[in-house]
Amino acid sequence: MSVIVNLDVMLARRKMSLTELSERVGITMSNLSILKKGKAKAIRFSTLERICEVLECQPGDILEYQSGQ
Amino acid sequence: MKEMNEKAPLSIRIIYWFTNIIFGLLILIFIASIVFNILLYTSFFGDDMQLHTRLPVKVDFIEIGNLRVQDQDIKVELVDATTQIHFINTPAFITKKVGIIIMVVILFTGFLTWTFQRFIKNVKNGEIFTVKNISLLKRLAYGIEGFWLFTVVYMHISYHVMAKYLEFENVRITNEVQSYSGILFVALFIWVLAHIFITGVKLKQENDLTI
Repeated sequence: MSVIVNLDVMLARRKMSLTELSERVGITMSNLSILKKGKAKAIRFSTLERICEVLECQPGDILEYQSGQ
Repeated sequence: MKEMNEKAPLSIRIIYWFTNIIFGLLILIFIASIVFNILLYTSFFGDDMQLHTRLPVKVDFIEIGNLRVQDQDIKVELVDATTQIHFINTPAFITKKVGIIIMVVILFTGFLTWTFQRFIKNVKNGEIFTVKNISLLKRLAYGIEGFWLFTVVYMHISYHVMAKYLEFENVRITNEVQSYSGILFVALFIWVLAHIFITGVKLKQENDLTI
């Protein structure tokens, strides 16, 4: 997939665990894990909004487009 | 993802239990047919069986009838009738063949009912758009197609071996062997349904992977 999810990078920067993010965003650990591993097919704007709110970042900090992959 | 812990709709539960009952009865009938065949092959019944079976072709009645409508008499004939044949004191060699055919038909019907039962059980448990259900539906469709083919072959054999030698005074035996195309349409419908389920599975996977 050419869109890379940099959730682990942002979590490391904010020194936040996946469990804490899951609790604060309000989505299950398994769904968050799917997103982190890049296995998700799509992400809802509402989910992205909540993640950005909790991690105090922009959508571009979490999602990155890499060509030719 | 299993999203269903809630009860399945009543209609699905009724179909499920109804299918279970039918399957149970088919097992009993199959056991009975085995016993029946053993008795046939040990000449327990002799030539006294009263066989009653469907005639593979349509018949025309060579007799003019009368229909009275609005004070008018209209001459009519009975044509293209489907009927059954009753052997009075069936010889054992016929009964033995029919006994085997009955057993095969019950086995076939049992297999189809079992496949449908597994499918409806999955639906009842909320597992609808799954790869397992697609293969069950395809198996059901191919099974029904096979059943149709078996029926058509049996009807043709039955016509060439027995029906075309029948002689009656007022009945003409036609050579139109019945095709039972309705069975084939059911199979095709289920096959189409299986392909719709393939799309359903793809959509479900996409939905499950939307965070």
